[in-house]
Amino acid sequence: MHPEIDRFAHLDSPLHRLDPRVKIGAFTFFLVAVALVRGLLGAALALTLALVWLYLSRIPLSFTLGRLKAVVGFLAAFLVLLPLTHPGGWQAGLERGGVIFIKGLAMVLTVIPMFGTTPFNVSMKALAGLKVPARLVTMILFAYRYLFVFAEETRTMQQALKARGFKARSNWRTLAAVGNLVGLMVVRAFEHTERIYQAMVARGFKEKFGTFYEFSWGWPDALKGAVIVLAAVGLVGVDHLWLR
Amino acid sequence: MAAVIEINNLTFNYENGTPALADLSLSVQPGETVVFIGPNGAGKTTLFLYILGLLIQVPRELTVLKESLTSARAVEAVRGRVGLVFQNPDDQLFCTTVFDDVAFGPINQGLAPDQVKARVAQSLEAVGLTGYDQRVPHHLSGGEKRRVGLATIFAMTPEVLLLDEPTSSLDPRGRREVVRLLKEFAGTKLVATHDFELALEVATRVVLLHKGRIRADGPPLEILTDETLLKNSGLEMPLVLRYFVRLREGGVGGGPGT
Repeated sequence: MHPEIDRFAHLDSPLHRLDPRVKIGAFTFFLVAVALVRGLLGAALALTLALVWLYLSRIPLSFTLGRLKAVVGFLAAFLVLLPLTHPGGWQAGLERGGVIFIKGLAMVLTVIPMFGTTPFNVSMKALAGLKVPARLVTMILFAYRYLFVFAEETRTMQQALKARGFKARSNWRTLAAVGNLVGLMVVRAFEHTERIYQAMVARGFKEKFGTFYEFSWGWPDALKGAVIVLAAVGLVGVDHLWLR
Repeated sequence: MAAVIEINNLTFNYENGTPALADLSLSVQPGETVVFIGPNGAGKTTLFLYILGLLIQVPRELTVLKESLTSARAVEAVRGRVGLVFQNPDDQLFCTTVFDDVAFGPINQGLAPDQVKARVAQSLEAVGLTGYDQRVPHHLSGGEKRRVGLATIFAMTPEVLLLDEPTSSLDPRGRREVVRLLKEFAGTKLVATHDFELALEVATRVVLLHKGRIRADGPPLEILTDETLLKNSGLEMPLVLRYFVRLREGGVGGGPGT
């Protein structure tokens, strides 16, 4: 199984062809615009635009729906809790919860084409090209790289637990076992980082991740970026007019 | 001829006080393939990390490639010429593509992009993984990861190779590939291993480490057929050598490789 976000980076689409730096910059602007939206119409428009970006990316719907599963559960909590707790009553709470739910979906659906249409290492180089601090980029890169290693190790440890007859139940024993497993993963991760750092230093690493990549952008990239930015500006404008 | 690695009375304890290396002295000549054997915790990996200045900043007891490692600058210079292949390839392959991993060392050496690309291509070809540039390291098999790990070091064109358990967890085919690569590398090699057959195949000299000290240092067959020495050091003679020793005691044949 290949759960990586850039699994479909090899496809061809207007977004695949967009310079990664322009893509990340423009979509970040769009995400900020979505965050600023406050009304239901604005949220619905944001979601519509996000679906347009997704359609343009040609990333399969099944892949996208798989990524939404965990997020939908989290966002749905707002739909349930806010009608019960909002000071303006259940209708105001439901509307507020709905806005958060739809905006959250729009953001996740935007991030998928934003990072899913470029190989992840190139996206990180684009971030470096956009002057994001090198240490932050390196942290994200390593977190992504070793996510799969730790997921595999966790799976192995879970199998080891099951092989010794462990069954998860709602009791202190289960809590202790899970706690031990999590604690051990943290310790292993820490030891891993020491060895990885030694491997990096042994190959001449001097606190700066040197990379080179031949980015080039032209008028098509500028136009596409401008469309995304204008969509973001329009979104905030519509939301502002609706609320007034 | 000047030694490639000269170690004089090296004693090293970890921060928590655990003794790791004790009064260790060693000289490695150019072109030698020195295989270090010893039980777990004997100090083999510690010695390799120490040689590259990865445990303390300035390992004063060392001279490597005629450089006395008495300054951080000297240690840095040596790191470009001595390559360490780690036991766990996942510790060594920390980038998201094979190309980036193999290019990491040459980029740190300050090579131009064209030179880096050429080094990557040559190194991948040397380990039989041409075309693997854009592959994702965590999707590779154990043997492929080990070979990419070697490629990451070959790309730096080292004069000395340090290999920590290079054949561990490999299937016979993967092991054969690694042995081939070791035999093809013309420079000086230090190999830490539990694989005694590997020692017989590649070693010009075997050093037995036990509790951080050198217990024996000599020709492979001499060390590996000394049953008492091996037992007292927590090791065992391989079966094939036990039969060889019995045959030799019975006055039959020469030895493995003769």
